[in-house]
Amino acid sequence: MEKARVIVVGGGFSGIAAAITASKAGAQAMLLERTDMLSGSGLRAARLYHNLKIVGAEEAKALGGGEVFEALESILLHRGNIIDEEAAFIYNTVLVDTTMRKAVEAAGVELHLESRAVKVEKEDGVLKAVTTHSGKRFPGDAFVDASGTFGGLSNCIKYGRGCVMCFHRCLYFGDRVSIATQAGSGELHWTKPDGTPGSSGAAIAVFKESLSAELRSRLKKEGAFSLPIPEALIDHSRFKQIQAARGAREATHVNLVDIGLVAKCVGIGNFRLDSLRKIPGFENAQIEYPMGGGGYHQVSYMSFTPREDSLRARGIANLFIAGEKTGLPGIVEATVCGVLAGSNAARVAFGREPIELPRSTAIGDMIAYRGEQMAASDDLRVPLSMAHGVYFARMKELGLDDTDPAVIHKRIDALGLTDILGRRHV
Amino acid sequence: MSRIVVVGGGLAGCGAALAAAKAGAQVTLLERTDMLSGVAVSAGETNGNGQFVANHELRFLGAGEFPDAIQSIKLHDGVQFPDSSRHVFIFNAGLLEPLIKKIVKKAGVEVLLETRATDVKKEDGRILAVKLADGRMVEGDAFVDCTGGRGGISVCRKYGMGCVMCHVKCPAFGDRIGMVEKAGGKVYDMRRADGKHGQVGKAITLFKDTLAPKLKARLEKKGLLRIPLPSEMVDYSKHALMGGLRTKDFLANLILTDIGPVAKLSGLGYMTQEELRRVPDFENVEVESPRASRYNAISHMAIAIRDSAMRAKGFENLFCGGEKAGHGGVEAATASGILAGHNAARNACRLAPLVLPESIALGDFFAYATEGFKTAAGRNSGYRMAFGKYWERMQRTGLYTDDVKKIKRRVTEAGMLGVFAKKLC
Repeated sequence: MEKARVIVVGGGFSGIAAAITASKAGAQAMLLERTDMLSGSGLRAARLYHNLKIVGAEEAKALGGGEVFEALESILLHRGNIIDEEAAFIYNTVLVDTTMRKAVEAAGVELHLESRAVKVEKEDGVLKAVTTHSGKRFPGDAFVDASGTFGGLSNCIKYGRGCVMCFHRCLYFGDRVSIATQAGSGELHWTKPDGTPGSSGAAIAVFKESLSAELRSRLKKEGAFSLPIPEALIDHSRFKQIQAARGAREATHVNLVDIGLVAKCVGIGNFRLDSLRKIPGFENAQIEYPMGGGGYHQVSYMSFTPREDSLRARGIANLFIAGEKTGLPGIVEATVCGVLAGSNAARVAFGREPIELPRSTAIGDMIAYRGEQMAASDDLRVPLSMAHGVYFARMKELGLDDTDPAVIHKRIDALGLTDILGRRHV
Repeated sequence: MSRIVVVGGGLAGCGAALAAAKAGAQVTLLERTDMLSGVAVSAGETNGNGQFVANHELRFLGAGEFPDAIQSIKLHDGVQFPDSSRHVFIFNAGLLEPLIKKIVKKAGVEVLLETRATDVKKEDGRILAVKLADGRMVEGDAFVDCTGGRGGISVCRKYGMGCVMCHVKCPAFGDRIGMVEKAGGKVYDMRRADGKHGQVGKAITLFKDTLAPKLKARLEKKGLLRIPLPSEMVDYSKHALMGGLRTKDFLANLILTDIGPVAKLSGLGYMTQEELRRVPDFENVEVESPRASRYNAISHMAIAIRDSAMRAKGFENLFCGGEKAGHGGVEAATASGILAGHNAARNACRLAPLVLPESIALGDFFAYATEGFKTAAGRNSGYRMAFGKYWERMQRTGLYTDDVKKIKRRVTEAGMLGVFAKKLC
């Protein structure tokens, strides 16, 4: 008998996690990535485990799906830096693509780069195959859509300020295509305060060498730190909005993070080059991302998919949703969804029923909590993160805030869930 | 006061604006993107072979601001290139833009960033104004087109492999629009050996931190490295695609220069990130530009027909500099821009345009190129002071010298000392 086939669309962290998990379960996993690099938004993300994000990561490890986190921990650049009172680990973006390739290869996943899935074949509520832009057909027994929510070009033109030349590189590799939407799952998006769809990024990146020698040496030593934004540059009209989304400090400070390749500047996503250069130490700053200069960003959060708590897309028996599309952006949040989606895709491919994680786990509760929000309203304006805001508070209320890995592993074990997502099915 | 409008803020446009302002004009510089210095953000090298003479002549001609600024951001000097380019000076390309902006603004130039000229208003052979993307008109007495010859997207789609996301940044700031073309002037493009339009970029830039740490350290110490490409990867058939100008050494070696924020890889512009990663110490390499590492951007698509005074053929008051005038490279772009800007100011003062005498290298170079561009062979090869046909000529005629006093004497004897520093009217 031929091996059951799981096709994963999208090579960001969640797609990688899904493919590895499906492969470990015994399926033949195929990972299709639109560009020539793995890691997606993780190419410029780099902050791991701040506040309660570590709970999500440690739960995933205990559940049997820790490969992506372990790979990232192998390329840490700075360990446990304090940014805005959050303990952050920062991985080296220089090594992330090649490290992920090795992880995928080690798990026996068949990787197809520059393979943009654009078409689906569906019969009686069951997906049969996806076809790439170049006409290659990938039949499968189950599928995972981890294609993300940003752009593409047409959305950035319609709802943003045009293509800002971000690392998603739609121009060359083609727009993101949502397999779930193609299969008729429906689609939700974020709404900006002005009522237009999508969201705009809070960070830009600059070449480290374009910063003053003082800032460069601090970055090297400290990994990350906050700098006050000169009073004249603070956008008081947006103060409340930023404060609500990311905390008061981010409205008056720029967080500088050494992510290896470049210096990430969080909190000044709206700064143009001329304003940026007025910050002490930034006099010669050159923006690396977005390549089209500061001030504007790619439009993201455009394509959330209604899904069950098993992460199965509503109405499609063998399609699972991973990553940002589940309604849960953020490295840890997106990746743990990839683990569950990959495991369930393999289950379905083997003719079994998908599972849900109980609400006594942080991952299970977060997925269900977001699912309730998505079912209740199209309005997804409240961000959900294990690091701050509503869900951070909820984790504390539920007593899911112990960050000691031993405690977390014990908790998962007491639920009888150890390695439940990491087991081989055949 | 006469009014000069310069379109395009690369080194040529900045040079033109500076020269016109020094000549006494009121100058407006229009730049499509949010930064000046154009493609010089990935230049990083000057002074090689005959470029040394050009830079010094500029100083004695009274327009040494840019060469002096570049001198102040030195990374490495006296570097020997594999194609025998000697005394190459490598500067921190990442620090150039703020310096150039300061110089131009200090000279009194009105710099308008993110301001894209889209059309011209003219009467017979006279340009009256340029039209901006938002509909505003900018009037002037004389105009300089320094819009270059790269892209835009439609060109890269038609003659390349699509938009590869290069430093020209058309998707974010809009395609290049040439004023000479809009005014109805004739332009031509360089042809590749196979007859295709435009040149394919020869250089790409790499994030330095993605090189093996030891390699990065060596590069930063030496300035230039010549790393043999594994023999099975050497493809001499790409010589024509890469312009055919330099030696084949550039196809068999990774010629890497440290230009500050990034490392520049010259001559292998056709190689992809995936291919480069097969080279030892390049296993994790990430290409910085073009961001979609494939082939490269298409350049040299719009060279205006101009005389040796840089005036566009058929127009009274339209001049051109830089790649638009057929002159790429830090010093040639700057010098042609300066001459164009100076002559625009002369034109506005009703003075005859200045043609640099052929007894100095820049004068000979521009005159030689004016003649050469009349033939297809000349147009398709172009002329550079650091290598190729014109460099050979400089050695033959004795115009090349590394004796700065001799350069000064020649400029003085030609009666050109400080000519670009004089106020005209």
